Order: sequence, then structure tokens, then C-alpha cells
Amino acid sequence: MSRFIFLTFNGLSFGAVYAALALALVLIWRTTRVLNFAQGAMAVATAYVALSVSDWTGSYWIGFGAALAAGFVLGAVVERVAFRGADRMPPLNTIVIGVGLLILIEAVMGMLYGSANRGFPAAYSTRAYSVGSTALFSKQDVFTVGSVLVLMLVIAVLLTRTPQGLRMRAAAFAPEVARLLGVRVGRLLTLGWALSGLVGALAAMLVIPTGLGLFPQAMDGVFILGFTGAVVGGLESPVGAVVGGVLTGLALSYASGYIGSDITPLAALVLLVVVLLLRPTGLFSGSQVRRV
Amino acid sequence: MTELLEVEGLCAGYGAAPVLHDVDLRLAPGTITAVLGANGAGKTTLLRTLSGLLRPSAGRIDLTGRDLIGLPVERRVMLGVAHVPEGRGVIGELTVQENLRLGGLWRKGAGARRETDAAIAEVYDLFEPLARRRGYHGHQLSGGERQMLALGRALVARPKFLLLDEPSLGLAPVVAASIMALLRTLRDASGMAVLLVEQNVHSALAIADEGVVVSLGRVVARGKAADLQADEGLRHAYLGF
Repeated sequence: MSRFIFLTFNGLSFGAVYAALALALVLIWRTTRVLNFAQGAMAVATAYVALSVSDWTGSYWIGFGAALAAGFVLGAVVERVAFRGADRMPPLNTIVIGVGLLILIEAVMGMLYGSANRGFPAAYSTRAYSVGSTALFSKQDVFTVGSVLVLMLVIAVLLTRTPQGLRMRAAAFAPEVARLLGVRVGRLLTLGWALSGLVGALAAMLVIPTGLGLFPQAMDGVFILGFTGAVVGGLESPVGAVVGGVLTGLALSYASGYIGSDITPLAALVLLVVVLLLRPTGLFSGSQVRRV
Repeated sequence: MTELLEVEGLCAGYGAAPVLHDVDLRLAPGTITAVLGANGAGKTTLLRTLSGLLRPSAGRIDLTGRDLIGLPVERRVMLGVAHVPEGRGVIGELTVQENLRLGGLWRKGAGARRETDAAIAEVYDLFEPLARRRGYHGHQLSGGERQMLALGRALVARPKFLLLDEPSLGLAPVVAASIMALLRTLRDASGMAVLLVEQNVHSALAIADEGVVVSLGRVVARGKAADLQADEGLRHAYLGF
């Protein structure tokens, strides 16, 4: 039982990261139909920004804030420069742009910082609290889950309780109608990408210190798991992204703990296949109708 | 009477395919003008060009003396242009209240919220079924209710110039008739100019003050609605009755 509890907490902590990355992907997918393959690389770039700023200022938290700000700006710039008009492009074009951007960002990070794995400090201790002989969770786990929860709450409030959120939803569901109502759809797409970049940056800042380390390809594997979470949740739904991400984290944690860490990637695949067999559009996708 | 909208020599199309050719149009405030013609005549293209969804290749569009050419859709909304597109454009994933609120979000500054709330209250007075379903999502409404919502959402903007594309499409005759009757009431109450594209020629001419007949992207006839209805040759040649 103690092992189960530990694995559950561990799964929730990593699941929160996958949920954040899944949310970043969904925020873009539902507005532009782009699956941003460069999301992980963009997140790594923001972690490098954090490293540089922390080294320069001597403050971890200024670096942390700089990473989030860099994610916000990078998301907006990527939309403006690389993906403007993506909703009118053939899907293959957006995939090529995304993969090209992934290679470009990782190459630039390699040139600037080298390809060696750098240690990256966690915000809080990663030593797990124990009750008796049962290890439960660390301060870093609490920070991970808490910060992702807070960010998701902020995004949920933004989307559902503010005029800007209403405009964003209208632009996502019916861009032409939104324009006819005076909504500047282009600006909101940029804002969506910026938010996505910020959420991705948070995911990187939370997962890189947990043994992953910082190197240009650090988030490639995490991106796959975030993508798994997004697909499991249904790609259309921010709530689905969160649930899908957490489910992915839990599935991987249990598989790793009870079967073996070698089996972990397979667990993600099994989860994906099972969910898609039972519900081909994902757990929270309301409809198979595609916006055209 | 001073014209609200003046269109001269308007040409527009999709890519290399021209659809509208040298269209002239004048609308006075407080009037309904019906745009009539067969499928593919260019009626919807005309509306899309006037609202800014489609960029014209030539011509002039003046709204109360302000040149609209080159202005994006969003700016035209702020100047008083409202376009209810074919199929109504109700956003099914949003509630009735959210759809209506969206109609007033272009407003800026102090008092914007208050003005939008007042306009929404007027819409609820006008369309009682919407008031009872304000928490429903757009996709939960009937066809008639969706049309009310689309029209109501346009009215929240308090437009000077309303473009309506096929408002009776897919509606039961009695519902379509009530929507048409309402347009006259709105015209009289608000003083806005309405450009109405409608397949149902009889009902369109019954409520319109003026009419223009479009064929192959050109205006082939215009005049008082009653005169158009009485012109047997025109009816046979272009209007199919």
C-alpha cells in the first residue's frame, strides 16, 4: 500500500507537468489546428533563459519569472513569424514548420550553451516527506502540483470569466463570426500562442530539475508524454488536457513502479491505444465534427 | 434624403474569379432594401464585401461619408456595420447570454459595459424566448431561436447598417413571417438601414422599401419594392414567379 501511495503522488507530480504541456498544445490546437511540435524545444529555450538570468542576478526566482516571461514572448513571436495564417495552411505545412522550428531552436541552444547536460536547481527540496517508512511527496512535488493548479485556475478564469476570454473562445470556435462582431482574431491568436508558451515554460521549469537536466533536447521525451495527455483528453478540451496529462503521469508512475522503468514508454502507448479504442476522439472531446 | 450608404462601381470576387461587376447601391437611413436574384447571382458576395470579409478589386463604399475601403471588418463594426451571415453564425458552444455579450464587446471605455447590458436587456424584451433560455448553449436552440439570437446579437451593437443574409432560411413559415415583420418594427424604431438578402422574394418585397435585382454579379433592376413586385417581365426573367 505504501508503494501505491508513493507512486500515486509521484504520478500526480509528473502528471501535472504533462498536463501543463498538454494544455499548451491544446490552447494552440483549438484555435489554429496546429500541433506545435516545437513546444518542447521552446520550453527548453526558456529554461536556458532562466539559467542565464539566475546566473546574472543570483536569484533563482527572478530566473523563474524570466523563463515564464520568455515563454510568453517566444510564443507570440513564433505565432507572428512562423505560424501566422496557419489556420489556412494545409496540415502538412504546419507540421513541417513545427519540426523545422524544433530543429532550429535545439540547434541554436546547442550553439549558445553546448549540448552537455547541465544541472538545473529545483525551486524546493526534492527529498520526499515520509510517514513511517512510507515516502510520500517532496516540497518540489507540492510546488509542481500547486503551481500548475494555480496557472490552470488563472487560465480557466481568463477564458470563462473575462471579456478577453469570451473573445478568445469566440475566435477559437468561429473566427469569421467573431470578426463580424468586432473581435480582432489575429491578436487573440497571438495571445493564445503567448499563453501556450508561458504554460510550456512552466512545465520546463518544473520537470527539468527533477533529474532530467538541461540540454537542448531535454523536453523531447516530455513533449511526447504531454502530447499523449492531450490526445487522451481529446485535443479540443483544456479540461481534457489536464485530465489526460494527469492520467498519463499516473499510468507511467504505476507502470514504472510495478513493472519496471524500461516499460514506461510502452505504458504511454498502451494508455493511448486503450483510450483511442474506447473513445477515438479522446475522453473530453464532445464531437467528431471538425471546424472547416 | 441623405444617404447612409453609397456604393459605386464595386467589383469583387474570389481569387481570379470575379463575381461582382460595377455594383452601385444607395441606402437611406430607416429603409429596408431587398437584394434579390438567383443562386450564384452574387448576393452573399455583395454582403461579404460590404462588411469587409471580402476585399473588393475596385469601387467605393461610403458609410455616412466615411470611406470603408481598406478598413478591416473589426473597424467597420465600430462604425456601425453589422452582418448576420447566412447560416446565422450563432456560436453553438457559447450560451445565449455569451453570444449576446459578444455583440457588444467592440465597445471601449467607461460606460461600455452599461450600454451593452442595456442593449442586451432590450433584446430580451424583444425576443422573450431568448430571455427564458439565456443559459442555454447556442446548439440547444431551435432554428427560430437561433435566428432570434443572431439578429439580437447584431442589435446589441446598435448598428446603423444591418446586413442580413437569408434570415428565413430553414425556418417554419410562421416563424419566418414573424422575423420579417420584426424587421419592419426594428427599422421604424431604430432608423437603421437594412440590406436584406432573401430567397423568398414575396416576403422580402412585402417588407422592403426598395429592391435591387442582381444577376451574374450585376444589378439589373432597382426600384420601389412594390414596383418590382408589379413588374411582370422582371418577375419572369429574374425572380422566378
